[in-house]
Order: sequence, then structure tokens, then C-alpha cells
Amino acid sequence: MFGLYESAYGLISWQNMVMLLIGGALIYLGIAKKVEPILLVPIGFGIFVVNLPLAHLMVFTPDGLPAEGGIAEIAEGKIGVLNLVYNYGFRTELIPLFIFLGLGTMIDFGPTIARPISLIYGAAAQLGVFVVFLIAYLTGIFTPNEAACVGIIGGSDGPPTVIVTLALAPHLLGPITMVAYSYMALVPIIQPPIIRLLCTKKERSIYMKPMIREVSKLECILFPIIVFIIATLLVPGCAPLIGMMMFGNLLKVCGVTDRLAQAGGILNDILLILLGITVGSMMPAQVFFQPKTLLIFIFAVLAFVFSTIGGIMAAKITNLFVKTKINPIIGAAGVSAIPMAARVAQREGQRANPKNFLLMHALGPNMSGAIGTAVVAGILLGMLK
Amino acid sequence: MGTIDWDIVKTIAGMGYLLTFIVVGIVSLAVWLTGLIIMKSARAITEEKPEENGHGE
Repeated sequence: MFGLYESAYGLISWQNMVMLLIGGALIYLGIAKKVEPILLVPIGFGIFVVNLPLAHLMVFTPDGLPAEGGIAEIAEGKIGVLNLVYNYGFRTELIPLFIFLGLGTMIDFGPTIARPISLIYGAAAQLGVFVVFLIAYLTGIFTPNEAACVGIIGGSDGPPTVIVTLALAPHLLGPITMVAYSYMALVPIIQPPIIRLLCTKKERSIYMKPMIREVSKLECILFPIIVFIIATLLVPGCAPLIGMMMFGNLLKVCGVTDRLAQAGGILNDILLILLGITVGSMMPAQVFFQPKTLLIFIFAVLAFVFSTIGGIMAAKITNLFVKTKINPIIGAAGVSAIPMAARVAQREGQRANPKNFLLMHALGPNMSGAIGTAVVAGILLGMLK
Repeated sequence: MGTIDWDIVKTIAGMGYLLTFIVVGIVSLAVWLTGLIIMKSARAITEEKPEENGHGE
């Protein structure tokens, strides 16, 4: 009589309650602890959205996939507005690709250009992708496609993770993207113990001059063009990701499209709102409370650990061949969680030797990690799609 | 529990990582070479300029 017949109180399950607590925890981490608020606050709210019965902002099929449909289905109440965002923004890969474009307009590849070997650290830091693929597949629980999607979390880069998962295992998009984005915020917690375990105090104390070589404008302009052409010729599957990122970067560095570059940054922010809330809304209790989802949480930590190990080992191997030793901590920044991994390297370096200022050196591998993950995404798509 | 296809394991876990290094290595080499050429030519231009302008010795 008072509209109470549609009340959702009676429909909420204990699983929904747990999900609401998780969503609340993410919002708390974002607001109170300032941990990746741009991502965690929308993701946390998205979890609320999908776990409140009858909210109808995101509707799932009994198979645990977002219901398909368009405007007409919204009018009929069959799907919610976030289904529309998912169907047109994610399923078409539009949102993750344009986020990569926006990222390109914000990235300064100067440190990578100044020391191109940084790219190798970025590649080495993809170790976690392949090790976790192996582990996940060998458990027999994950199919090769699913295992690849779990592994790519180790690249610590959102858009490639979304694109690979959409192509190979769309039913796991919710847990994988949520884990990928929320674990990026945990890089400052996961990495330091591994760095201290793998590098001696002497290695961590290696002093590196704070400044890197100045890079000319021509080099900055040629960089995105060279990377795009070579990477696309060698791994065509990475063309959308690398292409978007390099296009965005070209807009930034060419000096005549500043307005477009600024628009890329704004576009990125707008899309992050849609990405965050949609990713959160991909986590209904029915999807979360599955053994596979819980395993993804464990394997994702392993992926980050092995990727960090890969980057550090590559830097250590380099030291066997060069006269001026480099601080192996910067290899850990090859895990492309930009810029957290670089900040961790800076902090750990200064902790071991207060004179050290590794940030500029760590940014090179950090940016290279984004290129490395895009290449790996292309390779996985080429092999498994 | 599914059966393990070892070909997939070898192809993806082994070849995938190796291929990543090859692709990124080539990109890295190209970036390094480009930087080297630009730096050399910039140095050559700055060395030649004083003479061109009649300010050289």
C-alpha cells in the first residue's frame, strides 16, 4: 500500500551483506586512507549497486553474466543503465581502449627514452603473468583462457587486463578487474618485503645520480611512432592497446595538439568513473562466492610477487655486464602500477641510502611496464583467441 | 579437473615470455639507435654551426 511491497529488505542475503562490507571497505580505504581513491571509491560503490536487491542498475543472467540489451530493454526494466555501459562500453572494448589513450596523454616517456634498457625491465616484470598462467592452468581448475586472464593481473595494468578478459573469459571480468584494480593499490604493501628479500643492503644502497640525460623533442615525437610500428608489426594483437597509448602520447609530445592532449586527460577521468562503477557492479554475490573467484584473489598476489621478482632479477643481471652499477630496486618498478611501483622504488632506495633519489630512474621501467603488459596482452590474444 | 595440455603450457608460458623479450628488446634497440643518431647529428650540427655563421676560427 505504501510501496513496501517492493521493499528489498527481505531479499538481502548474508552473501549480499558480505559484499556490502567489502564495498564499504574499499570506499573506506579510498576516502580515509587515500588508497587509490579514484578507483576504489567508484568500485566500492559499484559493489553496493549490484548487491542491493531490486536496485536494477546492473542485471545479471542466471549464468552470472551481465544481461544483454539496449535502450528498449532498459525501458522494459529487463536491464539496468550499467548494463548499457557494459554492453556498449566494455563489450566493444571502447572504454578500456580510450582509457589507454588518456593514459598516453599523461605519460612522460622521457625516462624510458633516456635509458632504453628500462624497456627490458618492463618486459622482465611480466614474469608473474606467465608463472601464474602456469600455476592456474596446472591446478586443472582454470581453462587456458581463464588462466591467461588470471595471469595478466600480474602486468598490473587495468586496460590490458580488461581487454584480455573480455576476449578470453568474459564471465570472469568482474572478479579479475576488481582484483586487478584493487591490488594495484596494494603494490606499496606487496613489493617492499620482496625487494628486501632479493636485494642485499649493499645492492639497495647503490647510489644513482638523481638526474637522467635530457631527451630532445624529436626523440619524444619519434618514440610513440617507433614503438607503435615495431610492436604492431611483431605482435598485431597489441595494436589497439599500444596504438591508443602511443597516439595519446604523440598528442602530448608533438607540441601542437595541447588541447587534444588535455581533452585526453579529461576523457580518461570521465571513463574512469564509468569503469570504476561498472567494474564494481560486476561483483554480485553469486559471482564472488565461487571457488574460482577466491583462487583469483590468491593467484593475483602471486602474480604481483613474481612480476616484482622478474624486474629485480633483470636489473641484477644487467649489473653483471655494466661498469656503472644500477640499483636493482628500479627493476621492481617494471610492474607497471603507475606511479606506485616507482614511488616504492624511491622509498626503498632512500631507506637503504638516504642520499639516493631513484624516482626518475624508476619511472623508466614503470612506464615500460605499461608497454610490456600491452605487448603481453597482444601475445596472449594472438595465441588463445 | 581438466586434463593438462602440455603444448599449451610450453607455447604460452615458455614462448610467450620469450616473445615478450624479443619484441620489447627490438623496440628498445630501435629507441636506443634513434636516440644515438639524433644525439650524434645534433652534436655534429652544433660543431658545424660556428663556421657556417662565420664565427669559427
